[in-house]
Amino acid sequence: MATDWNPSSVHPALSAKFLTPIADLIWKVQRKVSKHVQPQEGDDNWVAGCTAYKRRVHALTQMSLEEGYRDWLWAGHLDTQFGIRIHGFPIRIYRSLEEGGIPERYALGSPGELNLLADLNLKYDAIYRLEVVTKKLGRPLDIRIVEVNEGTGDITNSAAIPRSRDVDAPVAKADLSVRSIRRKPAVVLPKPTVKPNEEKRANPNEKEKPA
Amino acid sequence: MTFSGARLRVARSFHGLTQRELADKVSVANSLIAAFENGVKQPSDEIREALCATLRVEEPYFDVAHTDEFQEAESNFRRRITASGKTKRQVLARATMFGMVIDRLRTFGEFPPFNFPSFPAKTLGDVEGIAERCRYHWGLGIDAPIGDVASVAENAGAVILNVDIGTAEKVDAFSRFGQNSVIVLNTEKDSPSRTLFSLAHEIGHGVLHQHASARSMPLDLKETEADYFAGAFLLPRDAFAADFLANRALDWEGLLDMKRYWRVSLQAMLHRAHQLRLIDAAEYRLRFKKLSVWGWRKEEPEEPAPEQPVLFGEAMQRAYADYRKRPADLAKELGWTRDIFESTTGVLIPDGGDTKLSLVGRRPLRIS
Repeated sequence: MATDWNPSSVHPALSAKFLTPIADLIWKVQRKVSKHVQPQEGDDNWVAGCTAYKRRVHALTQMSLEEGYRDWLWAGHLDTQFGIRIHGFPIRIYRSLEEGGIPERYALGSPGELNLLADLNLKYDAIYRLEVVTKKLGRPLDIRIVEVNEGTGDITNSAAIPRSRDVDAPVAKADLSVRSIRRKPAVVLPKPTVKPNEEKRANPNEKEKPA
Repeated sequence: MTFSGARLRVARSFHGLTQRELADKVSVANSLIAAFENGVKQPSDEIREALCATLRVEEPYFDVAHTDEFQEAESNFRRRITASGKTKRQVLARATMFGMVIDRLRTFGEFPPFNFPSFPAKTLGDVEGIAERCRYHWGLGIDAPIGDVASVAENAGAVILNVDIGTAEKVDAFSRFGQNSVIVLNTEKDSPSRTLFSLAHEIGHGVLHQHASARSMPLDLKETEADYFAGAFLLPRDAFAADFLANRALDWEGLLDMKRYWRVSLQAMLHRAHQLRLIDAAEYRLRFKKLSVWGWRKEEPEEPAPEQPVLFGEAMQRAYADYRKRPADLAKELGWTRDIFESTTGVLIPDGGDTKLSLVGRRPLRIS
């Protein structure tokens, strides 16, 4: 897995500009849920996960209808699973515990999701997930964007999403120096010429106009 | 003595005159002008002289049996729907006159042979691949910008003429491919990136629409295909997409940097990005709203240096170097006055017996 993976190199939708407000919202929801979990009343990870899921669906759906977000964010069901689309780019969300790994059910792309990615001319075997990393009982640790190999279920790339306090991190800036290395110089053809005509070649001293 | 009605029509359109206006100027009936142009009647010597004086040509101008008159059906206009018929006729006449000079210059030197491949598109989707085939055909590859698009067209045998048609006259470019392949570009808008796109658009017509059946194609479809070609030709999909996606935050600074590299307008790049689904419709609209707010839809920053076609100048130099033909001699042989020659070609004819040929003094052409 590349440690310096820049998700926006996959698609502009995966830039901090779009992911950060979503990560902020998920973080807020997750923290609130973790505060209200009551283990003494029988709440466990499963309860924290379900509550966080329901609230996250609600919060993201509301957000996708708000001015300033609705132009680029869509939230709803991609086939049967809840997910979001940023400028059409589909992402599903899952919660993982500290020890990592990705549950098998999240590693499979749904037909609708795969079709959307195919329409964007991206790698045929990669799908994308927002990973909400938590401690036990839902306390959030990190929110990451991960690339998953749809065939094997392995995480091939992963990057932390900066939250609003560090939204101006370098990832949000165009890295022109990196790009210029990859660029090839422009192709320039030789200037066109008008050759002497055959008649002139045959009679080099001819100065009068041709017939 | 022969009299070419076609040449009368061309000279009249060149000056933007209707048959009635010309008839008034030479004091004959309107129907007589039509009869001359259609070859039904021959003008008397007196009327002929009046026509020459009014249209600013010499008598030999009419003494040509065959004229390669550019027809609208075989030509391509990149224009807005509001372009007037008068403007179109004037541009056609201008190009026909220019074609006469090129015909004459062909007797003094060999122009690059016609090398526009004919690749008709069955569907709009075919155009993407056709643009790539063309880039390979002309040795351009598909992974870098084209440094000089005018050279591509001229090496393929088309002669380019820059003309100031005027903003009010909504013609961006004109082309005609065949015996005399000519591309006329409207440089009035003073936007080199836009002119470059127009040139690529006209090259697209040369590749996609040179087969006979293209004449019956709907104009809208031809224009759409040529636009698609221009985008795909200037911004090949893989290289452009990689560069676009490297612009991590899709910021304007990055887009302007891309403009400096690709030499294509921001608007054309955004359109291409949307076409390749690198951005969705919402983002596309948002970006264009920004362009409008900043006034960049009319005048963009970071314009590339304008391209200078060279083939016509080369031919003039060849005529002088090998045959001592000065612009004044060419004008005389064509039966044109100095004024007509200068306004058609942009080449200034020096006063007196100066034999030195200079193309530096080319003046901006303007259709008025």
